Amino acid sequence: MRSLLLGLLLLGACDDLRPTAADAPTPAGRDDGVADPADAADAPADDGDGGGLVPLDPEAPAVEACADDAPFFAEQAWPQVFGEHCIACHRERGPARDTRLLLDEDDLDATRAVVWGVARLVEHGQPLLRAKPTLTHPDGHLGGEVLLQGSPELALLDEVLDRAAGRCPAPAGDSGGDTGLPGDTGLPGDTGTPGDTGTPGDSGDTGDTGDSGDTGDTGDTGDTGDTGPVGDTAPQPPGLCEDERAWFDDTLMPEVLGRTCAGCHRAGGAASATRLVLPAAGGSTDAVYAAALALARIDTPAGGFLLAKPMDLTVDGHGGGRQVRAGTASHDLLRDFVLSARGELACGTPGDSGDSGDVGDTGSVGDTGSVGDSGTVGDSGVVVDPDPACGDVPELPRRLRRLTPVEYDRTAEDLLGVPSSHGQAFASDVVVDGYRNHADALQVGGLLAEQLASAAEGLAFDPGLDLDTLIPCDRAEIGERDCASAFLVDFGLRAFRRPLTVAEHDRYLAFFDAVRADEGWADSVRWVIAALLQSPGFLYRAELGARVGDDFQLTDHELASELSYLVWSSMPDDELFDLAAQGRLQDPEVRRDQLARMLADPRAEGVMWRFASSWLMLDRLAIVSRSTEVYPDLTAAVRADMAGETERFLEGLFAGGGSLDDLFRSEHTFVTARLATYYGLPSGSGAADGAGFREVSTSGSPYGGLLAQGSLLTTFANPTDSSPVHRGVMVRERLLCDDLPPPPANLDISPPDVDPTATTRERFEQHRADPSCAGCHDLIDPIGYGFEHFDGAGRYRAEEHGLPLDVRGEVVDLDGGDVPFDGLDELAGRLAGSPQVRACYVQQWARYGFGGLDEAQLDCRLSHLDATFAGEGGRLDDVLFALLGDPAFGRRVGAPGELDAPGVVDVAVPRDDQPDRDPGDPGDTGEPPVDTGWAPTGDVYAVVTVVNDWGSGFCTDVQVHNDGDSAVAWQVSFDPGGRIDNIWNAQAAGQGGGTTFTGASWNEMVWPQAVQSFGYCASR
Amino acid sequence: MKLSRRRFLGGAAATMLAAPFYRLLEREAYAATGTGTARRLVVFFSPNGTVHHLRRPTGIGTFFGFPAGSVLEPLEPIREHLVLVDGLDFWEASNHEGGMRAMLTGNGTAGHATGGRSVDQVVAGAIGGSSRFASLEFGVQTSAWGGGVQTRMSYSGEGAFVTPDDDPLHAWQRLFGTLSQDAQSRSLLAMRRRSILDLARADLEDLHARLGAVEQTKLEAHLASLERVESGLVEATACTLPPTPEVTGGLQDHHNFGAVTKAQIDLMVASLACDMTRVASLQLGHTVSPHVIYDAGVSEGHHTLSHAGDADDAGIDGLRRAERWFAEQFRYLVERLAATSDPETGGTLLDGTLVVWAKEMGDSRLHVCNDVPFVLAGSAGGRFETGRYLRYGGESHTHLLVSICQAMGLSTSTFGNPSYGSGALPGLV
Repeated sequence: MRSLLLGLLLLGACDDLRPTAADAPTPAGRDDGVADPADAADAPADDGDGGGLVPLDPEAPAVEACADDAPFFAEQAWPQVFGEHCIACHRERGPARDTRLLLDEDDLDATRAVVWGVARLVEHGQPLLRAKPTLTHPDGHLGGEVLLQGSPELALLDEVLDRAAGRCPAPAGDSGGDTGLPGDTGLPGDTGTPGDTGTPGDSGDTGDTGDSGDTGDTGDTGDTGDTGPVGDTAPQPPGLCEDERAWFDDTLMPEVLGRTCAGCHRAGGAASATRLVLPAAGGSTDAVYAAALALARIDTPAGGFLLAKPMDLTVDGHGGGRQVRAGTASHDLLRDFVLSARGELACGTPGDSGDSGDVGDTGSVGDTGSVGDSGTVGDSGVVVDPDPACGDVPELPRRLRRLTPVEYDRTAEDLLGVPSSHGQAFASDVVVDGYRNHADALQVGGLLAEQLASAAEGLAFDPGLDLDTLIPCDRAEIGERDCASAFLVDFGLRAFRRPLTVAEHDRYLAFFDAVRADEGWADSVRWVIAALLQSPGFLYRAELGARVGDDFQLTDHELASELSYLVWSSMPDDELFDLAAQGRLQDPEVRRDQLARMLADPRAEGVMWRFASSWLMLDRLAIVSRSTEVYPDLTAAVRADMAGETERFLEGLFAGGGSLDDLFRSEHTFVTARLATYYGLPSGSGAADGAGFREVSTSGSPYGGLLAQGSLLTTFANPTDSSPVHRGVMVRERLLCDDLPPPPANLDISPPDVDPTATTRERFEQHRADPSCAGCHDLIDPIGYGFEHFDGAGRYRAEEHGLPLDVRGEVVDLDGGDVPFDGLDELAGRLAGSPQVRACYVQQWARYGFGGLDEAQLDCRLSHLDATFAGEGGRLDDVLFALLGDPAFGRRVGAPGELDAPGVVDVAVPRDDQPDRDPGDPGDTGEPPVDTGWAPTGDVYAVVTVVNDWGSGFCTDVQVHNDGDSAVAWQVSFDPGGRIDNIWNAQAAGQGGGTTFTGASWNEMVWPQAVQSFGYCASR
Repeated sequence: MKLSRRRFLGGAAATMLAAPFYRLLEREAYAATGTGTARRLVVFFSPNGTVHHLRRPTGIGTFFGFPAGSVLEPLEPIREHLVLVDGLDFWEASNHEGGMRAMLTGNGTAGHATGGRSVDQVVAGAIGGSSRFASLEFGVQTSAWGGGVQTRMSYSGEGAFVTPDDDPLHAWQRLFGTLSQDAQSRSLLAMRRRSILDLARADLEDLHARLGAVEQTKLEAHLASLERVESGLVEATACTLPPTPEVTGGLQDHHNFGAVTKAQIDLMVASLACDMTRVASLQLGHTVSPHVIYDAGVSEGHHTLSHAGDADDAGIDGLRRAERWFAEQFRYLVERLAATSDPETGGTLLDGTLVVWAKEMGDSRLHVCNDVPFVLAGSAGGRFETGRYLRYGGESHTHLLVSICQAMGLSTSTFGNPSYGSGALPGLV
């Protein structure tokens, strides 16, 4: 039985093995044509008479049965393979009953006929019966169990294939001179499954201790029928780098296997029954080296098994524990080993692969220059080398970001000057990684559309709304309709955060006219406001940009919103709008200045809290379930005070130049009188703020620093007790950015019952004694023990049930080592100085700030962002400058094919090489206004944007700005750049540089600080 | 060839530029099969699996009973309307998320006939077209954790959640808010709102032109939502205006769970009585729901209780009481339907309604989706013989989803993943 366990990946029954689309990982590195497991899962396992299906040997007449087929099947193949493993799904009522392999344990003769029939099928050049369970079939195996190369089960399966093909085994004693593995007997369809390249025993079956050592035996070249795993160039285990063994011991073991995998893949560990079992510290690595080589050479649709498995790319995924993610140093090291084992690595750069991140990145684009800090020496003294492959690539696609409920309310308030709480009641959006602002998740669903309609009407007809502050004109003076038009230009710019297009302006003006026919002026304007608030122009922040080369550069108005929503979670202010109108936000220095200005603005208040309530999941504090019997003092008011405490603490540090060190180690906090009593702290001196909070020193108390705050401690606990698990997971996932998989199904994961004779730690340690739990919980619980002086409601306790508390713990694998600590203060100190915590802080901000950077891309960018952050000085607020300096801030990539698609509009985007855009400078006369032209007429000037250009002609959108103090009937002159074929909303007179444009009747006036529009098409 | 909406979106991105910007959903085949059919479908959900020995009736067939103190005992007064179904499995699903996803979708994906939609949405797609609302989704405290697999049960396509409305007052406004106004004001209001939808659509078209190939899904979803809003602007049929729901205190307050539940049931019944929709659902909490059902006299969160071991007397008793409370809510719903007349037929609403009480897991302690219990109420026009207790042996619950569709007059033969088998649940009719 033991060999069975070793030879098979036993991952439960059919349940759960099948990847679903929602669960399917989509990391980078999957773009190489690898079959998506989700796709495979959708396809029927066998598509009947699908193409490419041919009998194994069409020439052969009816195959003679071998004399002992029946006993062989009944005594070996059935009990060890089909009846042991396949039957779980391939049975009458099983999930795989619609495949051709339908097994019936009550009729083995009939079943044997079925098996023999399937064994004669060939698909895609491989025997189907072998290709499916070994995952070498392009469609994969939908779920269930998998046979590993070299396993006894596969040998039996191969014998079935032989027998079905009429190749009966020779009488005992004659093994044909081969190694005795049936699979190596020259089966025509066996085109070199990688597991066959080594000697029969080197499949990594570490239980066969006799095999250890023979992996270095490269002399087994007798299997010339096998073409090897890749190509046909190498006659030996090809391409294995010369010093591979030493590199394995010196680099791969300590850097990856011993660190990432050893938690489970060790004797007695959760993965002790797999083929990868790591030795105890100091033990011989012979066996694991052999196993790793063999596993690396197993083919999966996603490449070598040793890499595909921990990346969760095999069909049955990685059962639990830690994973290897693309873009990490661990990934690159493991990838190199796998490639080397498969003969696919260019050897000769042995030393390089020790440097994280730079493996294989030769030939990438250079540094952007936007951040000159490549190679910055970080706080830890480690040279951080930004991954140049990530340096200058705008990772994000062009997209729309719907306002979040928070952004909706704050924007409505800034736009209209009335308070808004409509967003709080909006249908909840999908939460991704704890964040509620992931661009993909923010859509307008059915319920939300109705709520948006109600909110828009509610805001527009809010009695507190003062229309006079929004209307830039006197309708008695210029007429209602013109004033409505002027209102649309002015208010539309602020509502859509960009100038309205002519079409939009006209549409909403027509709506005004229609309403005005029935209702008064004020209500008509209010209806227009209600309509604008339901437009996609208001609801979505566009990140579409204008094309620059092969990328898209965000427009000035889009950049203004990027800044304002990052810092204020609201719309741009007048200064940002002005800078956008002047085209100045393309300048990184201007953006930096603006960011500094915006951080000092009162609207920046709350920026850290808005981020951190998602980062630390404190948005759950108010609703986590807590027993009122065990914790009667934890009232809703106390919970609210706890949130207020952390908000003030974080905001104070962020605005006051605090660092991560301060975050963890500050000796002050903020309490109300109620919370002070609750904690047992003094209530502080000095004036309380509006909500009754005072700053108080925590020196000499058990409190102090983020980790000892009631908000965090209460959010991460159980209803009736503390939880080392929840708190350990919080540190792992939120502070260290480790991915922990959910516990496996079919496992009772209930916390241990409360026991008044034991401490929480003792109960959980008992729980953790189960080896199936220990693999992951060794990463988690020992961190959580450090918090045990705080109960499930965030209050200090000197002891528990009268029992002394042991708060010693360990952070396994922090910054490359295991870090023991004694108590929360020491843990906080360790985290405060950790480069991993610093990088995670940046990563979490990037998730929030970019609204959903693809995680694999984020990995790639992280070292760059982290280096920038460290280079900026490492203050908490420096992270915003790091994000600002990232190429993802201002640039977007087009979707494939998008660059050629019609309908992509170039909006005015000043280029770097554009001449001075001083409106007083006549500038570019004579040149066609291919991008942006300025045609000053006193305070009135035009911005010309080419919206479509087909070579022999083009169309434009022209915005006429009035920077002066009085309304004027506008007139602008410039060279239209060709012969005007078509013009709207204006008239043109004259020719060439003397062409003069004047407005149509409805837009001939341009009001102070406002814009009018017209457009034309011209031939060259 | 039928093309599901999602598939159209996913497969036709390249041709979108030339294609009309949006299309209406194709209607499901709507052809009655079998004998009786129901005209309305109501789905009722309560979370966190069950503990079978607390719940299971005794006996079988028409000879069954509810043990004293058991979870389903509160259903005794309405037993004549019920079909209790035990022993179905969610194939290829386990744990909270897997169960929540599979419960009403049968693990369907975009490539399957049901397109990954949940049974309520499939039925709404077939019979909801002529209603003011194709479907209405009511919830109680479903959204504090945001939308996600754990918190949503209704799907309009693979991975596309339909969000329930947790706010009875807002739901009342949507359904009945304009009924208190005079006809002329109502009509003017509807006209304004339609104009605004047209403006939003025109702006979306403009945006589409700028977008090129990206974000089509987002725009399609937005447009489809506007369609739903517009159909909701249709003049409501004259019916009795139900009272404005009175819920004091926060919608997320656990102490309010019972009050909000009752308000939502009343609104749901009123919306059916006024024929505003033919498909409604009520989702009480969500899987892993932490809600403390104070009205049941417990003080522990429901999820915590659902993990009580058999040796934990207090925990088991708390779970039993909480689960009985959910049964009482189901009974209230059925009783309200039975007590409300159907203006179309003169009978009761229950006569023409199929009510389905679904759960997402079997044994909550093990996180498995085997032996997941269902309760049906209403005979679907005599199609189902009620007053029975049926036990199955691990058949896929997708057969029951097929039965539900067929009882609603659809010609469905498989639901969700077709590899789980086709056909209705045997023995149900």
